[in-house]
Amino acid sequence: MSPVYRLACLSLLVTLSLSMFLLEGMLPVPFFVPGAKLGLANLVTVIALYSLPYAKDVFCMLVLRIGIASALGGGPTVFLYSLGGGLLSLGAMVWLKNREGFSIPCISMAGGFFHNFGQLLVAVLVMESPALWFYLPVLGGCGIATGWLIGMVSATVLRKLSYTKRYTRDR
Amino acid sequence: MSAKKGILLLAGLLLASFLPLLFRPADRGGAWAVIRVDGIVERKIPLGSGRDETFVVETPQGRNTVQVQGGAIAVTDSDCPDHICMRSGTAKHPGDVIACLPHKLLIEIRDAPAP
Repeated sequence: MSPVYRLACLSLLVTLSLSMFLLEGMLPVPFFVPGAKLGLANLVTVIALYSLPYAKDVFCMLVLRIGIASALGGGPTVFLYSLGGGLLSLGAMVWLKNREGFSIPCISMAGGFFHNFGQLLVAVLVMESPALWFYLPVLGGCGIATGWLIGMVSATVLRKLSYTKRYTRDR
Repeated sequence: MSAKKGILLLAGLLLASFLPLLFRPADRGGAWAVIRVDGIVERKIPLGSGRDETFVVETPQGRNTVQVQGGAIAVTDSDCPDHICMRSGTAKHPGDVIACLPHKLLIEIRDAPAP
């Protein structure tokens, strides 16, 4: 993968995930669970995880997306929550991907769970209130469900684009 | 073996999700709502007193209207951007929490007024 190709890929993926993030902000909230979201932007993270050759590229993409999204609307608090959820989620997904035998929906499911877990962890630290952990049964469950759905869609997209093959060859 | 690993992962994640329920305090009646702004206790309200009231909590970031009615407490209005506190509904059992993260406002239901 040449540096130019890598830069182009990363830019496109950042733009795509940013659009997903902003699009999701316009949709009416589909859940009655406080704080739960579909996580459309994570769709791009999962696809990037399987189409970019190195995890550090996905990390780059994620941090850029969160930084730009927070700058466009949200501010430092949103940045902190997104970063906590995003990094823990990516960490869990990279760890699982390096182990054999986990399908894309499974890995995305863990990603969804740890995204909400990470956000809750930041909330507990910022608010200095361990009582917020009582939200975990609902938020964790939602993360599992939405993560799995996002994983199913990602798997379909990756199969249609057969990205995995092409990138492995370019490597 | 992929499916088996997936189910194990699912079971593990579900188990982790429900872990906090073990630490939920028992509902012995006489619940108190403790309202904190940025960690500092603003008000303590006994929920079992049968007195209904509506008041506004001012925070440096904005204001929340809190309603106590029939032994339950809820945020009925807020000028925060996400309105998650309003959509959280009512809280009345010890362990229930309503949070307005943008305003750093937290309503916790406890089985005693302290701490």
